[in-house]
Amino acid sequence: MSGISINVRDGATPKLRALMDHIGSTLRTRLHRNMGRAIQNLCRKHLIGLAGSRHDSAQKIGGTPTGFLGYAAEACAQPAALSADAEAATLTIVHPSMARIEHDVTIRAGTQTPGIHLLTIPIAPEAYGYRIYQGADPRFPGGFWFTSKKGNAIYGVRDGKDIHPLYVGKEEVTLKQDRSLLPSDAEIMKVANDSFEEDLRETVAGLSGEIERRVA
Amino acid sequence: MDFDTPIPFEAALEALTGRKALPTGLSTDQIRAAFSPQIRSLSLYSARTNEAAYLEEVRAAVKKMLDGEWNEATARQHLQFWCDKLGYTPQGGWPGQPAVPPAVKDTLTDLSSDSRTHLVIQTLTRLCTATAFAQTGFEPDNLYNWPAWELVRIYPKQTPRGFRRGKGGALEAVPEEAWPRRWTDAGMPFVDGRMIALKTNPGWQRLGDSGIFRDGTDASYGPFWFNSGGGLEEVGRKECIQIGLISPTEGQEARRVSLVSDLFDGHPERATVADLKSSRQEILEALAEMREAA
Repeated sequence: MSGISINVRDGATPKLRALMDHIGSTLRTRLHRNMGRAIQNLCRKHLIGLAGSRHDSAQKIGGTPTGFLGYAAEACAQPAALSADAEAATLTIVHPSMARIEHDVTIRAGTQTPGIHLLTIPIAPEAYGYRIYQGADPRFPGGFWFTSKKGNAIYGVRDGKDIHPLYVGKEEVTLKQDRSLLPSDAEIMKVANDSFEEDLRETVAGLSGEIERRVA
Repeated sequence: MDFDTPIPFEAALEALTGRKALPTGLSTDQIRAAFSPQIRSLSLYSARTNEAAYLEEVRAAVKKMLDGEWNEATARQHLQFWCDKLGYTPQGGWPGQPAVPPAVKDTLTDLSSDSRTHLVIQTLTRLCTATAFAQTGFEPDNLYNWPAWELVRIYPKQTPRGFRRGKGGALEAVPEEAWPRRWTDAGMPFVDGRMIALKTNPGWQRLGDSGIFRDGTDASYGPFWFNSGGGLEEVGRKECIQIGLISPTEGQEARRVSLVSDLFDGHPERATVADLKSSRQEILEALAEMREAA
C-alpha cells in the first residue's frame, strides 16, 4: 500500500517560508487543506484519464475492462486520503496500483488467497478479470494444467484435437515501476502553488477590505 | 513521497457499516414499491436475496475492497464461494428461506453469476465511495473552490450505455439510452456541450431517480444507474466562471472575511490596523517572490 506526501515547504521561497511561520495555524491548516484538495482532484482526474486510455491488458486480448484504475481514482478521492495540518497536506492513496509509482512490485501467489501456489495470468478474453474457480467449481469445466514446450505452466481446455489456453501460471509476477500513474511532480507543485497563491490573494483582498472598514 | 500502512476509507466504511441488512425475496421493482428511497439508502439489500448471512458476506467483501485488500475478482470469488457454501441454487434459491421465483443460470437473476456478483460489488463499493467523496465536496472551501460537478466516465465499458452490439459485434447507437438524453430527461441543461451543473442543483437527485429511469439507483451522487461507469468530477471555480455558471464575486466577500479571521486564529478583532497592514505587506512580498520564482 502506498501514498504520496507533499509538503509545500519543499518548494517554497524564503519569504513564503517566513510568511508561513508568521500566519496563524488555523489559516495555515486551511491553505494546506485547499492545496491538498486541488492535488487530490488533479490525481483523480489523471487516474480517470488513464482508466479510459490504458486498459491495455484487457484490450490486448479482447477482454472486458476490470475497472482497476477506476477504483484507484475513487480511492484517491476518499476523505481519509487527504489530511492537512499546520505543517503540510498529505494525500494517501490506498490502492494496489500505487506501490508501482516508487518501485517495481513483486506479487507472490498466496498473498490474497492463502494456499494458492500459482498466480493465474489470463491469456484469453473469456478468462480476463476472472478467477479460475467460480465459487467451488472450476470456471471452465474440464480445464487442466499442463506444461508447455517452453516449460510454462498453462491452464486450458480441450478444443477438439487442440488445447485452448486460458491462463499462464506463475509463482510470482514483477510489475515494473510506473511513475506515470500519477501526474508529474511539476504538475503537482503547480496545482499546489496555484491554490496557495489564490488563497493568499483572497486574504490580501480581505485584509484591504477590513482596513478600509476600520479606517472609514 | 512516502509509503504508509493502509488507511481504510473511514467515511466510505461508515456508509457501508451503517447500512442495515434487509434480506428480501422481492424483485427490484417490488423493493422500490415497498420501501422509500430513504430506507433503501440506509439498507443493505439486493433483489431476491433473502439470506441475511449472504448479505453479511457481501458487506465483508465490499469492506475488503474499500480497505484496498481485495480486487474485484477476489471479492466476486468470495461471494460465489458463499453462495455454494450456503447451498444457493438459481433454481431453488436459499435453503430454509421462503421460495423466490427460479433464476436463469449465469444471468443477472442468478445471484452466483459473474454478472450479478460484479453488479453487487461494484454498485455497493461505488455508492460508498461516491457518497464519501460528495460529502467533502460540500465543505465550505470545497464548495467555493469547486462549485460544480461534471458527469464523466470513470470506468471504461466495452458497450457503453447508449450503445448496443449489433451484427459482428459492431457498436450501434441507442440514443434514447445515452447519457445526454438522460441528462436532458433529468431537466439538466448542457453547459458548453458538457454535462456540468452546480453541486447545489437539485437535478443531480433526478439523474438517478428510479421513477424517471428504470435502472436508476436513487443515489444523489452516483453511480446514478445500475452497471454505470459514470461518476462525478469536481469543476474548479475559474472554469465555472469562464463558462458562466457563477459570477466572479459570488461568495467572495464572505470567504475573504473568513480567511482574515483564520489569519488571526479566529480573532481578527484583536489585530490593529497596523497589524492588518503589516500582514498584507508581508503576504504581498511573498506573492511577488513566488511569481519571480515561477
